[in-house]
Order: sequence, then structure tokens, then C-alpha cells
Amino acid sequence: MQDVGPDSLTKRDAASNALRRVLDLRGYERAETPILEQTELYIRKSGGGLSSRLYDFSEPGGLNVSLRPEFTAAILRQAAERSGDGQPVRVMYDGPVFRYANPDEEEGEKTRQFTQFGAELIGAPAPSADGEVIAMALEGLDALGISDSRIVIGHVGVVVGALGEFNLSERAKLFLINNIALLKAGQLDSVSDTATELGFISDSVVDIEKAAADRERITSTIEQVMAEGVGVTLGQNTGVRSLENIVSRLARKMSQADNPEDFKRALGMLARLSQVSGEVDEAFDYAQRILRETGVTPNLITPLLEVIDSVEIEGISRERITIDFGMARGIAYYTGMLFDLYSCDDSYETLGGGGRYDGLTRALGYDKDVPSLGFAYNLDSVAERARFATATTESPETISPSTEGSIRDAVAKARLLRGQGKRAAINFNEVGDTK
Amino acid sequence: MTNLRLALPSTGALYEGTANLLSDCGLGVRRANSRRYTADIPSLPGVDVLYQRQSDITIEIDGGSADLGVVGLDRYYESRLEQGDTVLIHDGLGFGGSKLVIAVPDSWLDVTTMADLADVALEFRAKGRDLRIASKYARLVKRFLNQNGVNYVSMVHVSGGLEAAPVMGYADIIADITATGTTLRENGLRVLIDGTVIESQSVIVGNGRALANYPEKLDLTRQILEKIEASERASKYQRVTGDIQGESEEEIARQVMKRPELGGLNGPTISAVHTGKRSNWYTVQVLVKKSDLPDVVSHFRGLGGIGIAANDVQYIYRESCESYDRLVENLQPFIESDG
Repeated sequence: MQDVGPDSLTKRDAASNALRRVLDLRGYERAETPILEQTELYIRKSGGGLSSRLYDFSEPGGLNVSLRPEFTAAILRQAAERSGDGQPVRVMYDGPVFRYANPDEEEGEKTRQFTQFGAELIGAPAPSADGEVIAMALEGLDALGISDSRIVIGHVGVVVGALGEFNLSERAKLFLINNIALLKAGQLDSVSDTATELGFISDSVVDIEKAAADRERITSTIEQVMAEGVGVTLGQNTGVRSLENIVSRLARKMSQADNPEDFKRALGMLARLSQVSGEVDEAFDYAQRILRETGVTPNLITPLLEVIDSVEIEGISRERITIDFGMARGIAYYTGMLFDLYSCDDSYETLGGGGRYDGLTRALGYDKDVPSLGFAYNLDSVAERARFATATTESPETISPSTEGSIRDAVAKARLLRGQGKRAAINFNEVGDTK
Repeated sequence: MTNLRLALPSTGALYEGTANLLSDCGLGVRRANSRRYTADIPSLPGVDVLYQRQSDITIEIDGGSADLGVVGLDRYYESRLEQGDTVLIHDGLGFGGSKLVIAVPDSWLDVTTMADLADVALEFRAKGRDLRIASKYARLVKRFLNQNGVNYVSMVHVSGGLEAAPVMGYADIIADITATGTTLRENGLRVLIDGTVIESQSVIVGNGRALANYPEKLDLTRQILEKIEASERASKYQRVTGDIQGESEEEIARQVMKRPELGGLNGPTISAVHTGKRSNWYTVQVLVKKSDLPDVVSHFRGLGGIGIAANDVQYIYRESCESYDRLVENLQPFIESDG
């Protein structure tokens, strides 16, 4: 965490004012949420990536609280408690967020406190609302004069849909999606190794025989438990879990056991699909070819096509867009399109990103899914790159009591200047007549 | 105080391992009796040995009450203060190997992976309770669980006998150190397939501020590192000598170097054997990897060698001591200028 001086703050304020104007024209209203929240709110929402970076502690009253690592969960809560007329809710926000960065890991380079500026569009289904949010994110950058940025769009729904054609368990699908970044980086071998270790793939006859034997043993255990009653067979400590609970979960898990061949085919498909990225039409052609060749319905990619169409309706040309089929976040409530904004300079820094999270309301404990999406900029990075004409703040005129004759005269002159809307400050170190 | 205060683990596998390591390096510790918590190293005056609990060593070094210490990598990561004074000096002494693992009751047949555990934690949550995990490594374990999507957990702090926690009922699962997994199995616990939090072994850590600003302490550290590194290297090699008949030194060298991989660390040393009479016997000496010993012996035999002997080597020094050079680099931020 670091101090922010006047120069950076001036830039940041100017950037957030400009962004507010852009979002305001589209009907977005500002909201604020607490910096400190019950940890519960964030671990409900976060996948492994963010929850291990929470600043969480117990407050004097004993409650577990965290500094906010992002806004979406709290904004959604606020909107859920407020809305009701069936209209989409449009909210924008900005403020500091906090994410611990472990110095021993890659993330260690990152700043632990940074400022987000973002927006959420709650209660609006795909695909046309997707166009609004993506276009707005680009308009914001345009308003700041950041023209050399890139937008990369992916779609979780497409990837999940493609995996859905391989008859896999939820567990297997989640494993594959969680590993998509590695596959994209070409590390198929390491993902295969992990999959073998976790039992998704059996490589040797021995493994297959052992798995069959395990299965038989477990099946007979289940049968025995069912027949003779709980507690007789295992006769062991199961802690607070009941044997029924263990056995029924086991039975469910076994009934969902994946066919290693299906798993391997799905892995092969994903390894190829995750590598597809580039200009819109080319990427679509290539992705469709891969899907066809791996036995998946090629028109599964339609939802992403529709998103691109909705962006074009907003007046954004498809030349600005890069498609990336290897983008996915292994978090269940991300359901549709995802995007990241990058700077095109040497740093290739992420300026922001967003996506659709139709499943989030339910993950937060509400009883129905609300189609929603949003995005956020890293305001610090964006402001540093902004190239619009900031109202150049002149240094205040310095008035010296020694020149003016006395402090009284100096103060009087300063007040006069301020009355004319000019900046004036007094140099108290040069004292004139003290009367 | 310019003596180097060296903190060593007072019990367990790391106590034994450290004692063996130091005596193998000619730095044997002299301890008046096993109840004394201070000792010295007769061959290296200026070192005060302090026997301490392993879990305290990183904290003692961070706080400056010890300058150098041997500790498990897991303990170091668990206890060190970020931006504190402790620096990692030697990242693997080759003993005290162990793993910190997540283990569940064996009766939880349905839980074999971290993904299963995440699922069960959610089930617990639905019933209004957290999954309770007993461990002495709260920081490492919590982070690992979070990274694997196991979010609804509460850490139970236990100081001993972790394995009993699930049976006694004060925790549901445990995270503990294991070398072989036997103790866990005997207590009805099973390690999850992908449940390894960290693989650990003994390392040397030190207080960067003390070492950077007291040249005497740094020099003693250098002497210890030199010996450890040279002895570690030497343990992999043997010196082989044999007498071989030939026309000249050059001729013998050519013969030996027909198998360049057996020519030794720095090439063979060849010297004439003076028997008093005119003789064409030469003694050949090579420093080779222990694993190459049988090959070297057959090679020498093939050249008509006799009197072949192999000896252990105590130290092999290189131009510089790697861990010391790295340490000096890492000490830069700690140097206090007199202003």
C-alpha cells in the first residue's frame, strides 16, 4: 500500500469525473458500500483466487470481517434490497479495494491497495445488455484519450457448453475450466498429470483394475451399510458427519464417475480450443473447425457471436475486438461473456475487465438468479495513461507578509484573490510586521 | 556482542540431522550435557550454540535474539514476518524431509481430493457449522485451503497430538507434518491425493540486519557455509588412485582420457613412481562421482592398473561459496550507513 501525492490524485479525480460523465449519460447512478464487510460476503462470492488474498481478521466484537477486495457482491446486495419494479438497476461506484499479494508468488508484484471504478447492470439479460457494458467500458477509455487499448472477449458459456457434450460430471468440468489458463499456455502434459493423479484418467491396466476393485469394495460397503444399518460396517470415527451422509455422497460421486475416454477427448478439445484467439471472424472459423473435428456441435459458439453483434449495434467496430476462447474464470457464477481491457504499450497492463455473472445472486444467498453483468477499471492504471486535457491546476499564488507589510495585509490580499476565484496561499515563514 | 548466536532445534529429526551435519563438516557441537541449552563449537571459536524449540527459531531470529539458525522450511514460511529481518541462506541441507498434508478420517470414503473437501465444507455450512481443522500451521494451511476453494473453515489451534483431534472431537480434519504417513494411518487418517500444502526440509536462515552490520558474525557465517557446502559436495565424490604402467605421463593421460567422463573433476593427476630402479610406473589420481566408481575401477584395470584404492574426501572447495555469495547480495538492503 502506498501514499498518493497531489499529482496522481489530480489525475485520478479528473479521470473519475470524466468516467462518471460517460456512465451518467447512460443512466448509471452512484453508490457506495462499506470498506469493511463481514468476511462471509466475500467467501461466498470468491473462488480460490480471491479468497486467499482477503485481508480478514476479527473485529473487537469477535465478528470476522474483511477489507473489501472488490465491489460487485456488496453492490448486488444493495441493489437486491432496493429494486423491485422489474427495471434494470444501473449502478456505478469507485473507491479503494484491498488484495493481499504473497511476495513468494507471481502476484507478489501487485499493489495491495488500488482504486476501482466500475459499474454493474443488474437485471438485464444477454446478449443486448452485454453490448451496452462492453461499449461503455470502451467509451470510458475513449473519453480519457486512451486510444491504444485492446479489448479481449471470451465466453464461459461457450466453453461450458462445449464441455457439456462429453457427458462429464460437474467435478470434471470444473477441473477442466479451472485449468484452462494452463492449457492456453500449452501445458497440456502437466494438466494431464494432475488429471491422472486425481483419477480422471487411468493410464495403465493396473490403474483400471485397481479402480474396478475399489469400486467393487465401495459398492459392497454401501450395500452392506444399507442392509445392516449404519455404524456396523465401518465401525470407525466419522466425526460430526453421519454415515448416511458419507455413503450417499459416495454413491452420488460414483454414479457421476467419469469415463476416462470421454474425459481425455474433452481435455483434447479444450487444449485446442483454449489456444484460439485473434481477430473475430478468423477466430470463429477456427473455433468452429475445432468443435466439428472433436465431435461438438459447432453452433455452440452462437452466444459469443450474439455478444459481438450487440457490441457492433452500439457502434463499436469489430476491428477493435480480439476473441479469446481460452478465457474463463473457474467460478461457477460466471455464466456468459467475459472481457479484459489491456493497454497496448510495452507494459501490456490490464486496465480492467468484466463479465456476466447470472449465478451470483444465488451464490450470495438470494433465492433466484438475476441476470447481471458489470465491469471495473483499475482507476490508478487508467488515470496514469489518460491523455485528455486535464484542467491544468496552476500553483497557488504565494503571498508573503514581508512583501505586503503585515500578516493582516497578506491575509486580506489572499481573501481578495480567492474572492475572484484564484488560488492564493500565505507564506507564514516570511513574517512582516506582526500587527 | 560479536559472537555468532546459532540457534539449533533442541529435539526431533532436525536435532539429530543438524548434529550429524555439523560433525560431518568438522564443526561438531560440544554440549556439556543434554539438559544444557547452550553449547559451543570447539573448532570454531566465537559461535554460541543455542538449543531452541523449532517453532521458536524463526521468531527468535526475526527478533534478533539469534543470528543464524537451522529450521524446517515449513516453519520458516509459517512464522517469518513479511518485510522482517530474516533471510533464507541455505535452501536445503538434505535432511528433515517432510510434507505438510491435509488428512481426513479414513471413514470419509467419499473424500479423496481437495475438491471433495470443498464440497463437504459447503455441506457443513448449509448445516450452519464450519469445517474445523486442527494444525500448528495456521497461516500456510488457511491459505492453501482458500486457494483450493475450501472457504468455510475454522482453524483449531492445538499444540500437540494433532492426530487425535478428529477422534477426540475437537476438530474434523487435520493438517500435519508427515515423513512417511504411518502415524496418520495408524490414527485412522488418510492424506488427500492433492492435499500437500508444502514439501519441506531443513534450511538455514539468518538475521539479515545482524549479519550485514557485524563483520565478525558474517565471517563466522561464511566459515560455516563454506564447510557445509564443501562437505556436501565432497560427499558425492571419491578419490581413486591406481598405478598404471606406460611410456610417459602424456601416454598415460591419453589412455585415461579415452573415457573423458571418468577423467575426474579436474582431470587426472599423474606422477611417476620412484622405485629406485628404472621404472615406467605412474600413479594416477582422479576425483570422481561415487556413482562412477565401478566404471573407473574397470577402466583402470583395463589399462593394466594395480593397487587401485578409493578414499572419501572431506571437503571440495570451488572458486567461491555459492550460498555465501548469494547471502552477501541479499544483505544489501540491511546495511545501515553511519550517516
